[in-house]
Amino acid sequence: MRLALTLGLVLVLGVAVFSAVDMQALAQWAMARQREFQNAMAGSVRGLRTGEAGAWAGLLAAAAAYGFVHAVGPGHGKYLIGGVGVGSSVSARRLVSLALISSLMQSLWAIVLVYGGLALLAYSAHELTAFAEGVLAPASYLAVAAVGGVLAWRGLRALAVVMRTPDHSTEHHCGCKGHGPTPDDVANLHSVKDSMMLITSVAIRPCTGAIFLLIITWNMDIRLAGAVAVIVMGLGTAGLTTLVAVSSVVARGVALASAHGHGVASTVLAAFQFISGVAVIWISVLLLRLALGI
Amino acid sequence: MRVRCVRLLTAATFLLGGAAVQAHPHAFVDGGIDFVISDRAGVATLDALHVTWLLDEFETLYMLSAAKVGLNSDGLLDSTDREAFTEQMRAWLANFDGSAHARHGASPIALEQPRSLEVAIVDGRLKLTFDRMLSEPLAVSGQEVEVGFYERTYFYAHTVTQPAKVKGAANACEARTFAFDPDSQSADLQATLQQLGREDVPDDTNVGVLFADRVLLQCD
Repeated sequence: MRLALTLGLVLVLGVAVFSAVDMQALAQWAMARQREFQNAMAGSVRGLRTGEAGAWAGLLAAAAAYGFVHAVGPGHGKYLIGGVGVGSSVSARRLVSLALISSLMQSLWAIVLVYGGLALLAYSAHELTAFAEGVLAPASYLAVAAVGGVLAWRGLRALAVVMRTPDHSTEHHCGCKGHGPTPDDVANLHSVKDSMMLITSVAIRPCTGAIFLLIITWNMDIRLAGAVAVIVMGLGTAGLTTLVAVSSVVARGVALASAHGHGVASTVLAAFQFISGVAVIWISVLLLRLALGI
Repeated sequence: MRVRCVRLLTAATFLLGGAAVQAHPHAFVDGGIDFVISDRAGVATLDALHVTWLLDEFETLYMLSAAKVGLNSDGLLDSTDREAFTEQMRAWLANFDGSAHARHGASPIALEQPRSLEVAIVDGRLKLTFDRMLSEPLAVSGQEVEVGFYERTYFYAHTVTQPAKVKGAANACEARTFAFDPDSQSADLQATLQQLGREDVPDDTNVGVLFADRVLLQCD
């Protein structure tokens, strides 16, 4: 009953937060800003070509701002980062690092893909765009869904252990193992393999804005500026995912503090892990369906 | 409990779906439509539509790059590049149906493929102007002709930003523009379209008409 109340409270709070924000207005706002910052990037790129003072600074500022508002949309792993934050015992610091590394790897991959594709394989702009959207985006959704699957599976397993334990309400009171997993035992992405899996699933799909910018800067022969701008764009993206990472860890902390008082922290964390894993799978599958048009 | 979970996940799904950003439209085109009228034995006759496109700055650079054409150190196109690019644009424009969709009453007016294409860079934006000749010139004395300024799949969002002009035998006719009037239904549809990628095509391949600005020609 207490468990249901605790979980229910957190979920209701979550729904209240979602309901309080006009999602359509947020989407329109993000799109309008993206357009604005895209055009600002274009202005700076032209400025670099014509030797205008301040063009470098303008390009980097616009790229960072673009990265941030672009990350409001799907496919940037923020839902995966949020799911992991809520559903595992990963620390805020570690999750922020993972968010940052994911975004930077995404930027580096975009540079390798576009500059490599244009230089070595003579791809056309259309082919690169089609490859990113037709192959890499679905691959990323599948990989993110797989991470969600791991989360859900571990949550389910932890729940089973908790439920099998005769008196799981005494956790942390006897200082011994064997009474079911403590919050620290639940998947917390300590292993390098876990971290690599998360980073790869996010980074596999380069940001479309980065692809376009790199195609443009390659063609205009200002390639270093394009690469640096795309790295800075990644930092802008990381700004948003960092916010999600911190928020999710705080939300989990609030819920667990309450659950801990009732001695059901292990159960709550396991349940969170399962639910967030399922949510990540669900959202990934929706995005995959949209990407494949099925 | 289960209901709450579903609601939370549904809310999360809306968040992601509604905020999709690699969405239709992908590029924005300002511009408009002018009417070319001749006087044939005292009858005002519509011969052609003169179309102007002004692409946004980012799409301008992307299109130039995709065509492997670059700006010179003045931020403009050299004549060789302009010719090469114009050549590519001729083929490309035909695929987009020229963005002018004319009707006379309930009947669509057949238009020829774009011709007399001219390309320029204006304040960092690609400006395309071209003519769409009517397959058969239309007597418009005492008549109205309506033209929608849109691209069918809404990959490009068109906005009429210049007053419509009547060229040639202009005395008998006047042209007016009508901006698209958004309502809640179109907002819902726009939210759905925002989920489409650059390479995707919406189910309704004529969806652009729903968001179109219009230009109306009225002749005495």
